[in-house]
Amino acid sequence: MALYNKLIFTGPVGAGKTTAIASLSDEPPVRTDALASDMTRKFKQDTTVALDYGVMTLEGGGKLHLYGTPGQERFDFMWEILTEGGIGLALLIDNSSPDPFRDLRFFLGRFRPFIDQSGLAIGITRMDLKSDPTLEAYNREIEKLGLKAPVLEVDARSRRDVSLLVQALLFHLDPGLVVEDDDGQFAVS
Amino acid sequence: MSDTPLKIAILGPRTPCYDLLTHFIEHNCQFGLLVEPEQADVCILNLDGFDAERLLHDHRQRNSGQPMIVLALNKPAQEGCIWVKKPLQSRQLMDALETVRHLNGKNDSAALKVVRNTDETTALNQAARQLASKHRANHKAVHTVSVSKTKYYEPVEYLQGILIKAYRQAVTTGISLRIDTGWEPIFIYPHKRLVWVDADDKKLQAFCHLSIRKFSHLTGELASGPTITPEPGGDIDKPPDGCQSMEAFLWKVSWWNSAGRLPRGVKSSQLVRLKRWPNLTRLWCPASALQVASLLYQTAKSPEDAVTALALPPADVYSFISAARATGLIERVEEKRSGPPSNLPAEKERRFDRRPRPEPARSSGGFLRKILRSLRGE
Ligand SMILES: Nc1nc2c(ncn2[C@@H]2O[C@H](COP(=O)(O)OP(=O)(O)OP(=O)(O)O)[C@@H](O)[C@H]2O)c(=O)[nH]1
Ligand SMILES: [Mg+2]
Repeated sequence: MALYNKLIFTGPVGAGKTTAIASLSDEPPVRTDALASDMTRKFKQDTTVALDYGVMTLEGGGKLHLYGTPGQERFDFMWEILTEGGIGLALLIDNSSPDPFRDLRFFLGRFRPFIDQSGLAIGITRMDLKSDPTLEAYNREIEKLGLKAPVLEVDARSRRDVSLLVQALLFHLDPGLVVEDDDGQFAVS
Repeated sequence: MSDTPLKIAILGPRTPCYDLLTHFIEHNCQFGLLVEPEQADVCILNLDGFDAERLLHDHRQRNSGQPMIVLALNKPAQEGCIWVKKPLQSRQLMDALETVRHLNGKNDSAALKVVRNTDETTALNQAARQLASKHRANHKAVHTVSVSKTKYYEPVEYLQGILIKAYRQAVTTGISLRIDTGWEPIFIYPHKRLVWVDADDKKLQAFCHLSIRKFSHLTGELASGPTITPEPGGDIDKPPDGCQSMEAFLWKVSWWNSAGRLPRGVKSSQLVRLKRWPNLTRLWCPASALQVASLLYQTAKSPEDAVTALALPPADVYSFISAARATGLIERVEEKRSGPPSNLPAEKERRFDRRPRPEPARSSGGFLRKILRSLRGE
């Protein structure tokens, strides 16, 4: 049986998946970036061709495994396998891309079965470079798809931003989740 | 030879303006060197600051002939100073410093690289942002919100009310505005949706504890009440450096004005829902705001039921609702309660989302809690 100790980061090329995982991971993340040899090269020097992997060691034992899907759609055969046992999906969308709503719809569509089974939080990156569309407009888009999720502005280079996105995902799964202070109840369950 | 730095001193007490200038000169002004006032080629003084006129007078007596740059909202009466109009813009400050360089014969085009090569207009902005991020990184920086004993407050009696009125006016007319309350003037630039005020969060929070009327009584300032006037200097394309977003500013002002109370107009038994998540990565809030957001986004709840359901201090929930309402994120839901009101003891682990979804037991609440604790741990 799957262990449900994984968090999946997905999103289009250059949205910040590799960077976000590096921001959270305790150990230097395993990256499978390669020099892009096709179209992607136009936009980016290196792109992830297989997957990103990082890990967060949890206080009191246990690990949260962080996986990033390759952004390029030609690798989408890997997506299904990756989501197995995931507690939720952090979708990153690059606000400066030519059609971010197309990206949004594409990834939400592709991951819909997983989303319906787990949690979702959406981080909009590169808003420092382009502030339009607004978060309000993203919310309207996801409502059209019959989805509800936290949508936050995220700079993948900021650990605090990525951490808040993941926290939003956890609370979206369970708003009643609490961090009790010093009640000594953090044994591995 | 002409690489001699321009020795600059900043006069006056440590204020946000002082910190911003220090940071700017250290990081963005390649020819500037910070020194003590007695050694300086030029001094900079915020003339609108506390006791600034006396400071200026005393300093000039001791150092006659030393050039002086004064920052002020309005043209100063003092003779012989170089005036830089506030809100501060990097370009004008650089121009003033270059004027002094010129006078001192330290002008050399090679050495005059300054920030001009890169992006001069954003230099002060960067400085402000870097200073701000120091605070942003720490949620708890200003988190000793005093909590009022009463349950409701009247937003129009506070800065929040004036701010909302001015925002409306600025957005509909497209004209930059200035609010005067007797405290620091607040500037609104609707085109870029920005606000400028010479006060850090601590100072703003202190001001937010008082109603405007109480503040006027205490200080004797502006007995006629606050005013909103067009700001002719409010350049549409180039807002001053160190601005904050209109949304983030109104959010925290409302949070602090609320002091744990609900705005009159939202009863504690009224069902409310969050239209969408506030942009909590860019807004001032305590950690519990994530919980309140997720609950009210997923289900309509009355403020008092939300307190019970989340087992949070009422102040955390009520202030959140005040800030969210001020920024247009709260909608009231007409009474159609399904099931009994939940004033039962809090069920902390209860699931609020009714979508069919495998039990969280599969990853276990305990595991999610551990992740949360690790994320917040550092
Ligand atoms: N300006 C800015 N840059 C960002 C932001 N988020 C991420 N970046 C940068 O964007 C670039 C691309 O990020 P990556 O992490 O490589 O993106 P990716 O999603 O892994 O891309 P692929 O592997 O090609 O699919 C990096 O240089 C990041 O530092 C942001 O919010 N603003
Ligand atoms: Mg990558």
